Amino acid sequence: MATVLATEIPPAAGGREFWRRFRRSRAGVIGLSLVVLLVVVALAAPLLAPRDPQTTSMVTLNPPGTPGHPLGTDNLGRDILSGVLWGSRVSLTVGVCAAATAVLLGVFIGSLAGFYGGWADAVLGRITELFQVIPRFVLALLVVALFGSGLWKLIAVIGILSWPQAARVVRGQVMALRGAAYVDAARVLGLRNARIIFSEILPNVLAPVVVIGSLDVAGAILLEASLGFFGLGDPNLVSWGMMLNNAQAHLREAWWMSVFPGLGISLAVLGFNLMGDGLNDAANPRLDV
Amino acid sequence: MRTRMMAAFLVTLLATGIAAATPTEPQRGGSAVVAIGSDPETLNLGITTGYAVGAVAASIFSGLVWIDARGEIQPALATSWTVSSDGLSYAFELRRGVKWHDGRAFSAVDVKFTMEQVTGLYHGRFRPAFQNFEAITVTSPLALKITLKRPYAPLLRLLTVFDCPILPRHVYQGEDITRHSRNNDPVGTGPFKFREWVRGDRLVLERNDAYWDPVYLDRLIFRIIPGAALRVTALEVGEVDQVADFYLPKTDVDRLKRNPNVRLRLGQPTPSIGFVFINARRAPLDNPKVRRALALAINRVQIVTQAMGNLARPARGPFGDGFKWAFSPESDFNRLYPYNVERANALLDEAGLPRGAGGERPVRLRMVYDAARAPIAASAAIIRDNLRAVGITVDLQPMDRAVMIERIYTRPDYELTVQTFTSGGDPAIGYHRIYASAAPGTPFVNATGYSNPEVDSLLNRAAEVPDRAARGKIYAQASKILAADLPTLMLFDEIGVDAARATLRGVWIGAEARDRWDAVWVQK
Repeated sequence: MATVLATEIPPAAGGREFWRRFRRSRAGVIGLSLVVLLVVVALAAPLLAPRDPQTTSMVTLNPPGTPGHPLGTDNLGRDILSGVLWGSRVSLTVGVCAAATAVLLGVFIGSLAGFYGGWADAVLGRITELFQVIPRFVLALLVVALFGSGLWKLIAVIGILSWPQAARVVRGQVMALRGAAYVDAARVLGLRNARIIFSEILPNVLAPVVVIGSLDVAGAILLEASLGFFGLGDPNLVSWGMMLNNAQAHLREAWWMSVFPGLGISLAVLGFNLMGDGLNDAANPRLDV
Repeated sequence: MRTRMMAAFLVTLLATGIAAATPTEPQRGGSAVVAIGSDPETLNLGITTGYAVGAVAASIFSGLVWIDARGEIQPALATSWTVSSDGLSYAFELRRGVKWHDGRAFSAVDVKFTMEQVTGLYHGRFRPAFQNFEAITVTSPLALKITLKRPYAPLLRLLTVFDCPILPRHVYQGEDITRHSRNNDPVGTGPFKFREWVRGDRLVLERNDAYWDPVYLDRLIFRIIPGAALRVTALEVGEVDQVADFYLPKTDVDRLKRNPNVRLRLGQPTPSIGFVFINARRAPLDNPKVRRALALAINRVQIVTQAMGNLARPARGPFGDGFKWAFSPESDFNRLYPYNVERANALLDEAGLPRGAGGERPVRLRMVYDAARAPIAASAAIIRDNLRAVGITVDLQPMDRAVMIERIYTRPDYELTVQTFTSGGDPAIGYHRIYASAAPGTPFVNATGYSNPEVDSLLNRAAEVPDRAARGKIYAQASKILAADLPTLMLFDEIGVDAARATLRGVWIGAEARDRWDAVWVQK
């Protein structure tokens, strides 16, 4: 990812200017449309789905186009279309909540390290690096295998494993800003450190954080789906990853069991990634050639 | 009319032509390749029940008896036996002229040594039975007598090569048996001798010309293929000649059925069952009415078709129906507990668990199971949906096998769990543990907390009486109580599937696909 310098954006640039630049990015607009579509589907799943996604029936492995089952049924006779629609809820919930956790953690740790520097930076920097060198997916597999896989546990695990990127970017930004004249001014006025960090510095770091948050959502959706694919999702919920896990054994005779949830994952991840790109472009007019 | 006669003539001609082209007489020579999933831990079958060990070592060692494909006991190292009328004493005559692979003569001393020093101490299934042994007396070089403390009907079934393989005393005596160097290069009396072991790749055995029956194959090769899907592919392309049930992924069976180069054996001569343990220590599951409602609400046919891919039969009694003589039509689940949502709902209402505003009853059950087993996970998903239909909420909790064992058997902290048990060839060996009173702590025994002295005494008697008809009556009595109390919900009797290349002949004359490879030959 390109290094983003918050100082490039005048604090006064405002939302309208940002939105104008965002609209110029085609990728961003496509991404945003996909994300909006995903949100609408997730909210309206109970209205859109033809039936309960977990209701089994004796209509086993029917192909798409079967009356009542436009996308077919799985090995237990569950409706694939309903599963794909309801699955968006799990993906979106995990994606957004885990990314929010990661960003909050990252901002907190990154701003402490950047603002105080010295040994605080050294310690937090090593911890950040530690989390970065651990293979995220393998650790997630291990944690979920040991502690089980409820929805909130998944969110916590993914969030806790995803914060280093945000922390590193925020640290760099804060470090660059802490010597800025207006920060010195705040110090002279006698503001406490916490106030300086949260009210004076962080608002100027927001743009890159939003970009990272968007990319984190995509990463979290993918990680949740991967865990589900390995059978470590929450079996009490319908999720795309678990649908794929279930489809593995029937890959040769029932392509529809894997293709539709796979399509869901691809579009969701693509949407958040493109949106992240668009946000990045909007936040960096310098790259706008 | 004429055309029909002509057709009949042609069919006959064709049939005789095929018969002439396919020799039915066994041919000597060639080799067969058997797929196994991992390196055996050892080749000393006397100290382990490991499946891969049995796959290889069953051809190197012999037991006193073997079990044929119909489930009948047949002579191996013992040629005949008599059981005293009180069921306490077994006298065996041993086979003459049997030589160990190193040329030494086999005798009754080897049998006594094996039971007292090896299998009686280290073998998971033989050891419990050995604790009931009073004495083993060698009455002549080729005869011995076993006396028991209490009668034990299934004793002979525990004398196969898998439960009590006879080991050479002259090799092992006085040495550390579990860490003996010959455990990796064993000396047996079986149809094949050990030749070579390339770890992670293959094990090679060669014909023992001194074996008492003809042995056709020059070599028997075991290929180690850890991936289940790869084992099937290897069979389809002909790199492997046999994949036994234990190593065969069931989702591939339908495809193999359509392959003319592959032959399948469906049906498991050693019955095994799948069931739901209901933790009766917890309300409302302590109420038999609630347990009966669960039995009526769970669709066993759906589980058999969807979760088991039809490689099972819906369970019909507290002991399944794998042992015809132990099945009691009086307690047939098809009659007592057919899938019936209305009756299940009525029973739950009666038990004081009415539906709330959202249609849900005040019952939340945790279903704990082994996450690694796909058919079990699918069964659990179906049960969850079946019970939702009668207003009961089930929380699925798949987990790692070791953690699952701890949750079910050690603590026990669960409400429902799907488990599968093998009978080991007799209900007394494998099924009594499902119902007999048991304190928490031992894996793979009754985990429900159900304890009924009457059932316990019936099961003890069923294990002691030697006569099958008499045992059948005892099982019918026990079935009647168990079908009413329902501490455990039987789901299905498993149907095993062994697969082999069509060119492999004489396979599976034993109940176990791993047994009797002396009879196997290759069609050229």
